[in-house]
Amino acid sequence: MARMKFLCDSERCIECNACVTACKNEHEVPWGINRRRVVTLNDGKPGERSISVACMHCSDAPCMAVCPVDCFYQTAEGIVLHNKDQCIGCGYCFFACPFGAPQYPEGTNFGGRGKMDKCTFCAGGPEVHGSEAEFKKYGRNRIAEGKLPLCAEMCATKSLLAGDGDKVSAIYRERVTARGFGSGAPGWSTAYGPKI
Amino acid sequence: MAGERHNTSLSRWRGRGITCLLALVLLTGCDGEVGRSPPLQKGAHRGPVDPGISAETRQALALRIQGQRDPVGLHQPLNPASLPAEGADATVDGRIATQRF
Repeated sequence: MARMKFLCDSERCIECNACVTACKNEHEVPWGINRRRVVTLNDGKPGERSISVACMHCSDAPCMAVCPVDCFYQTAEGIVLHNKDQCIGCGYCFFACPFGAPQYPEGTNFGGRGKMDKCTFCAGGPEVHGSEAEFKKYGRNRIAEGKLPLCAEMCATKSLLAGDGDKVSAIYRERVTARGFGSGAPGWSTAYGPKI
Repeated sequence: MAGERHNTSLSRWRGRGITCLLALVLLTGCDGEVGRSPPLQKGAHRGPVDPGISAETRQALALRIQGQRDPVGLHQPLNPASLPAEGADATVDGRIATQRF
């Protein structure tokens, strides 16, 4: 299996925010934290498009490069995960991430941010699969159950695709061929390189 | 004169006392961090990692990925010839009977 990737076909996104809701509900994400967001490009102008954005699990993840305590790692499937026990909440990853994915649950008077939280591609974290500790720290582990991220699985228009990068890009290419034009798959080249 | 000097040294001691108290409050607020030494040498991740998934799980994932492909027939070219005329009963194959687009 190639690397796991996200692809948002902005030509299909209807800005329903179901992916955002599904993510928050599945992982019981606390109030004020959004692991996934729907962003509108060119709002109110011709060519307006919406895209669903979260951690893209980049091939050469900048968050991994800047983390001073090396709490990030990649799984065999290319999913970028982090260890919350090692995270010191410095916020470097937030500044490095081109998608604004890292989130911080706390805002204290002394500038404390708490442990960083981000999309895990529904793959949990460095805990026993399906354990209570894993769910509390990282959310549900759907990948271990043989399921794809819920945001993509329940996307009504199949705008958000998730899975093996080769297969996902093949599906997108089929669409582009069928409709005669592409949407550019925003974020893809930033996260995975120029080719699709 | 002597009374004024006495007042100044008193306020200085009071100021130091408040500073010490504040420092104590700040230190007790860091209970969770006491005895924790974050590794600050940049390198590769050395902590515990994800246990990984089995071959069966990979197979199940591959099937799910294929499920994201659109059903056959949905991508029929939308040209005037492929759409039913006004009032006609004809429907495009693979679409809902009453759906025109």
